[in-house]
Amino acid sequence: MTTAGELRKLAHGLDVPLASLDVLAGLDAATVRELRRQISDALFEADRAAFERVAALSKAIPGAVAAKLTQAVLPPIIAARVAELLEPARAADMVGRLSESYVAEVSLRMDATRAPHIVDAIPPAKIGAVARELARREEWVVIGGFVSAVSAAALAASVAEFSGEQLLRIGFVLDDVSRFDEIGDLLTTSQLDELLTAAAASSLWAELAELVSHLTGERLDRLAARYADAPPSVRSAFDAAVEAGELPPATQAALAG
Amino acid sequence: MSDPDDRLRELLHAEPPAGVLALPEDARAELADLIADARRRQAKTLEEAFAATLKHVPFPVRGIVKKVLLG
Repeated sequence: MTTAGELRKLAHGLDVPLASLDVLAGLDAATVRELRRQISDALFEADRAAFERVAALSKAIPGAVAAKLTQAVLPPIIAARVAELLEPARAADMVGRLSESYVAEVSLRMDATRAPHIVDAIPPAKIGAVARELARREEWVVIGGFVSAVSAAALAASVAEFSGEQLLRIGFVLDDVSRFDEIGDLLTTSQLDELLTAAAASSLWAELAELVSHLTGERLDRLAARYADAPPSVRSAFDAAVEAGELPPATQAALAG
Repeated sequence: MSDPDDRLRELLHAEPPAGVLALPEDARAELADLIADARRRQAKTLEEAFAATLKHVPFPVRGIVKKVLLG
């Protein structure tokens, strides 16, 4: 994760525009991550008693009423903090009743690593739908953070929602690079073709190099096979990118087998 | 309290990362302001959410909602 990615997460957590964090642009990613964790803890503890009352309320009234009230009166930044205190089954029930758009707003402001039990309890299909909404909003960093927290089934449901270009952009900011091969196993032939075409069309060379550097064995072989069958215009764009120093020769060599 | 480092320690309830303490003084002061603003907004948002909940909640469960939210 880069400093820019960490700052984007911090901006979501503080509910402020990214530009207001310009003073932190010179910090390294690890420092921003640590600062973000400290701020998140401090904001949570500052109003813990109130968050606990909201969580208790969601248990005390029928699920349908709780969900309706949540969406009507609870801003996503507050819902994101309350979510950490919900019992997994209750959280899953609530999430099932809330709109994808609202859950996406909450996801933006939530640190998945603080509530893995909640993320785990949400049905894969719902996670897939929210992932689609986050991708529509181009929230690559947020999706990249959630990848480390979701189950295999939820990852499969999410990956199925992404285009090749979206996969390249998400892969570039993935927190947990150990899941690249799992993602590689899930990619369809069409997604593999799309990501090669997207790399060429939008000059996503660094993103492609990142993906290729983490794929191993069969996953890389499948991508290389699609590269071999790629249209001449795509292959010539790859050649030109290597010549221009935009695509590492090692990446093209890995694809060329 | 005007020293930005003391404000950051107070707001974070922790020792800020070394990289943050190495920022120029005006940047540290700006960061402390941002965190303090976020805390104020959070408290205000919660207060408004509680008020809106009591206003919107259906009559049959209003009693239990009042009891849980207001004690």
